[in-house]
Amino acid sequence: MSLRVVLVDDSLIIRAGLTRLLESEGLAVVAEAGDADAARRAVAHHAADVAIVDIRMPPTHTDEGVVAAQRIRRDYPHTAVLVLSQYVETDYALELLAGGSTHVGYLLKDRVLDRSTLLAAVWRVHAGEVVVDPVLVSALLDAPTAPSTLDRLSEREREVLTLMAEGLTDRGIAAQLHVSPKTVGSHVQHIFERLGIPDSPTDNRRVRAVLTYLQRP
Amino acid sequence: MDSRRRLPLWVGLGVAVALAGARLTGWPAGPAPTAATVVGTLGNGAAVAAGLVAWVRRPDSQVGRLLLAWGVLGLVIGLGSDRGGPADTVGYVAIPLYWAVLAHALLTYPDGRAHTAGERRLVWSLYTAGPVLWTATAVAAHRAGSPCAVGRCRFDIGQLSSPGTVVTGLWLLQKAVSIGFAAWLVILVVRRWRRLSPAQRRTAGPVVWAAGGPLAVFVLFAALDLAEVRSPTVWLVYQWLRDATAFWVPLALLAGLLRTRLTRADVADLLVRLHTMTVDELRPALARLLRDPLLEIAVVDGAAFNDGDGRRVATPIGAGTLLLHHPSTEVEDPPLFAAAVAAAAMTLDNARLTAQVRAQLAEVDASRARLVEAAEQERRRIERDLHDGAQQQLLGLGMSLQAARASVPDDTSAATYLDEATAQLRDALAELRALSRGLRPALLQERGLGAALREVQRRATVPVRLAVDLAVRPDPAVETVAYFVVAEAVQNAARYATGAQVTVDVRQRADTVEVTVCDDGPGGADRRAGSGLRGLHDRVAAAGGALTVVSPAGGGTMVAARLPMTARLAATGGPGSMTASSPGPAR
Repeated sequence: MSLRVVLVDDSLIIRAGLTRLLESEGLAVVAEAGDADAARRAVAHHAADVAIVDIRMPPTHTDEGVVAAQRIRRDYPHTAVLVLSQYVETDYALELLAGGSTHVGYLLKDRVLDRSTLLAAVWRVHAGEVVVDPVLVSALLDAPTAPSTLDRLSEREREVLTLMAEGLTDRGIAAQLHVSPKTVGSHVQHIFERLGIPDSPTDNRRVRAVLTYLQRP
Repeated sequence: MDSRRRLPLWVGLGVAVALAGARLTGWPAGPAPTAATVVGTLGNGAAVAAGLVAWVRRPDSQVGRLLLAWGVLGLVIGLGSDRGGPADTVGYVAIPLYWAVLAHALLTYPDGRAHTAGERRLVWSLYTAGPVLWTATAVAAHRAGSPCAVGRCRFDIGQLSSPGTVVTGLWLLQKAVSIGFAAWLVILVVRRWRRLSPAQRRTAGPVVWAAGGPLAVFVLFAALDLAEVRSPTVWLVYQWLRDATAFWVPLALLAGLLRTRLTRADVADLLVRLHTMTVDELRPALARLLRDPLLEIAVVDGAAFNDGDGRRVATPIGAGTLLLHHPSTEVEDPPLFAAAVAAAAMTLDNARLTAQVRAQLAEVDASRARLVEAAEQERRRIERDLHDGAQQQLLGLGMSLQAARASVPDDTSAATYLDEATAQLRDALAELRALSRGLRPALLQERGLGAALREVQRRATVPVRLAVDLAVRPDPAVETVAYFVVAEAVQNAARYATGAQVTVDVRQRADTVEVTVCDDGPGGADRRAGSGLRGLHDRVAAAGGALTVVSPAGGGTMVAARLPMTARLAATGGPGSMTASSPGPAR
């Protein structure tokens, strides 16, 4: 089956490039939209599987994309949303994940030049996962303001924490690190204990919990 | 006054002293002074004194001289009355002059000059007709064996054994002419009074009433005499009344002089209060000073002031400003008037300059705020252009490269070139992003200072503790300035205070945003060259704020900015603008 994708971006160039990229990978771009209203109509009309939404759109060119993404998630639960952002903006990522959302992702716009990451993210949000751009996660982890409690973690636990923050499931983390899901589960357990993060291991809420923990002042 | 011009003054004083001395001592060979003599002499003396003072203080006015003459004539008449004989004949002839001088002073107060032909005719008639008539009467009475030789002939004429038709006729003529002159005088005084401005009436009033007193007494007794009501009692009452009223005139004039003196003090007082006086307060102060309640200060645009009522005078007192007043003030005391006008001009100049400076300052503030706003909008526009234009184009180009890359086998040189091109493109995009963020972080516009500063905190290479406490969002331009203050200060700390802890505090106090960035680094920021903090200082000042940098060697660095919540506050003197000039050392 091919995924039905709606592209929402006010730049024709980006829409054209993304369409070519996605269709070359066998996905179907069923509609394109230049603003939030057109996006909602397109999603509703085409019963899209995934909407790829640019954060900055007319009319104010501020955070229309975040609002549009949340509306689409609320009104059309079967449509996953992947938000593209020009800058690393943690606040927006956290807003998207508010309330334990699933089927959402936050990627840097530069990922359109990184087709494997982009495609993986599209498929992951479609599968109900949460996707957070690795750049954002590493920025949080490397920031001088990152909690000093991170020092209590082992190298392996840090890797697991990073992948958790990027939204990967235990299974996904296990595949990345070439270990068994069971091993990942015990690492996760450890991390929660050491950092004192409220335990919500299987829910995607944990991405938000981890991100919130990482970015707290 | 030079000594030569003082000579008549000294002569007058000498004559008056001699006459008064003779009256009071009875020298030589006169009767001992009675109470009436003393009172009369003192009254005349007061007139002489007041005349001398007025002459010295107001040489421009004839009134002082007239008053002096009046006092001297009074003494002559009194002395004649005391001594009888030839002296009394002289005194008798002096009587019409005595009244003529008083009438002259009354008619022409305050300058002592006749202004109309009618006034000149009356004055001329008073000084000629009276003495001629009285002299004729005295001569005729003498020939008829008048008791004038032994005094009191003026009212005892009925006691002449045989007055004769000539004496009686002349005597009746005297009375008629006196009453006629008095009536003529009253008419002219009323006419003149009508011409006077309110201010002049205020000054002239007491003198006119005071001089009117003796004149009324004179007319009353002339009428009684004509009606042949004669008795020693009436004569005595007349003398006492005349002597008492003789005090009034000099006293009234002295009071007038005293008022002038007070007014001079008022000018001094006005000068003292000038520096705190506004233009609004100046008008009543001047009106009080110049005793002209209708006085106005008018500002003239182009065309000259049109003097509507014809009697107001417009005196220029500074650039485009007129003093509208009545001419009395000018006539009465020119130096006083000049002083008052100079004082007023000072205040007006002061007010004008102050207003000018304020207006210029407000204009500078406003234009600075406009520049800040314009720069802010320009930054936003460029940032958006970069985002919508260059960044999207580069991304599109990148996707094309990706598509091309997908269509060539991995191990070809084309694939390598395409991968290199993509990598270069990524770098270009990263640089563009940094440039765009430096212009104006998108997050700042979208989410405000708190969100934007959290990104600064995350990107910083030194630990930053951040506290933002803002109830409402400041002006975008102010937000941008606050953002760059923090960003620059944090970057400086990262560069010069490696390993230091940085504390950023942004809070709102009333209409002000206070931004404080402290680090515990080595300090001494002012000794480092560079334009970072200097540029920051300019930006803060342009938004109507003040930047302070405290950086003692070894004591850390504090960068503090106080900014108005709205950049426009700068134009109306917001809290920030008060300290806008405090210098911040540049790194």
